[in-house]
Amino acid sequence: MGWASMNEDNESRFFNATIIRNEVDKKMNTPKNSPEKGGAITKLKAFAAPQARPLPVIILADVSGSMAENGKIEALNVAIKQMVTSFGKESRLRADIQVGLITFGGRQADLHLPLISAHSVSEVEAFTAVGATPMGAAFELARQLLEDKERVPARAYRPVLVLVSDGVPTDDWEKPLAALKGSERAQKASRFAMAIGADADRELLAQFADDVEAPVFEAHEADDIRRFFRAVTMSVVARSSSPSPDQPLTLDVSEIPADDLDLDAI
Amino acid sequence: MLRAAGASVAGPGHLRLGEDSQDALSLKGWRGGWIAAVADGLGSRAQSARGARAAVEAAQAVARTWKRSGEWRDLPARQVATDIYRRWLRALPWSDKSMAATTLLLAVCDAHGYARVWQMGDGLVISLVNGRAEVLTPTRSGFGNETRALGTDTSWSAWNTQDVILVRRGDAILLMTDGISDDVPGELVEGFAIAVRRELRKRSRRAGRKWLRRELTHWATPGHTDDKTLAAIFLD
Repeated sequence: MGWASMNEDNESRFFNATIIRNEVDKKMNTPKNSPEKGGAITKLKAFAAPQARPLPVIILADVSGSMAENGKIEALNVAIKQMVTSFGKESRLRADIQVGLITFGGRQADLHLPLISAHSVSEVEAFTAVGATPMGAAFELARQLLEDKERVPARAYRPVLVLVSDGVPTDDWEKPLAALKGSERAQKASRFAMAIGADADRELLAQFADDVEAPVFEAHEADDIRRFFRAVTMSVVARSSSPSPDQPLTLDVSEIPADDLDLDAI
Repeated sequence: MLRAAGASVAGPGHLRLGEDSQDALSLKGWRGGWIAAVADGLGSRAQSARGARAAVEAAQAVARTWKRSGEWRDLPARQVATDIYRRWLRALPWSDKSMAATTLLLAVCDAHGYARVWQMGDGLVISLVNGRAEVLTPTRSGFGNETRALGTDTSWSAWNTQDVILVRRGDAILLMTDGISDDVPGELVEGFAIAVRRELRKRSRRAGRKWLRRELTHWATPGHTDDKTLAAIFLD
């Protein structure tokens, strides 16, 4: 074999070897399935929770008689429905957004959605405004829900509580609110409050809210209710899509244009 | 024979942002036994990765000062925790140590299978002794990613300490960060620990690490973001 011939042979062999090595490297470094999809067959797959970590969002909605005025209850119904629908449509999340819905109106507070995945909520009923404002009972239901480790497991991200009211409580609210804020688990939730109209109890709502940057949001007209819920929706979705879903929730209603209520844009 | 294996992988959340893992792992032989330390830097703190690394190094360094055989078993757990904490504080250059806040899980096991465990913050420590699995970590009261940590908690009550004796073949201690433990339902923890131990026993330390890395990289929980670190000491 001549010198040139041997060189050619070596080059050919090493070149091919390089190609083969590159292909092997590529195969080894490229998983068949994305790890985030959990598609790879692993021995420990059977032990990993099949659902993303929950991110609980609990709405405390005032459906007392005064909400029947000026289209408030209709706006609230639409806002809640759009919020749940938006949560349910999100498919690329780091968290499983779960919705809890507590209404207070008439004689009692009612738990309509006991923290279930938003994508599994087929319909949210439209509420009718009637009766008194048993807000204290709503606080108590929220506390019970948050303390229930079956419904809100330890792996859940910090929950979000949203209170919307246009009036003054008609039941004992001080003890239930103190219990909510004093509960070891419930006190860790992010709490936001919205005052609708001039008759809302702003002092109480301020005691409920725990965000010093955004004490109490004000709704002067029905569209403000939807803007507020839109801001909550955007913040929760952003948080659940981020690499660090446990970061504190921040709201900025001013970012939501009054005429931009197309939730499909989220 | 006492063996050990461990692995640490960056979570998809950090990989996506091109960031390093905020977990740290240190697994070293120690006079026929092992010292395993696992730390999980708090995601919200700017220097948490460095804090986690400093924590496992401080834990190793403190354990390595124990000279005479057997004497270390009688050291007050509180004094050991204090020594680790002080060494960790000294290792950090910033006046605000909370910038580097981190959890710490430490297991020290001598050649006779006598093991002691220290834990500050979340994550999980499991023992498998005489065929029984026991979770040595107290139940968490809060929510995911809320934890006590070096740099934010200075009270002794924030620590959990336990003693374990590995006697039979297959007895083991597992330490893991919450990136793993939060995604393993309570009723499956025992099966998880047994599966990990079984697979690690089949392999060399290096092969065990490789297997563990693959398992943690391809973690099956949808949307998982956290870094994941696991260390195991077992009698084989």
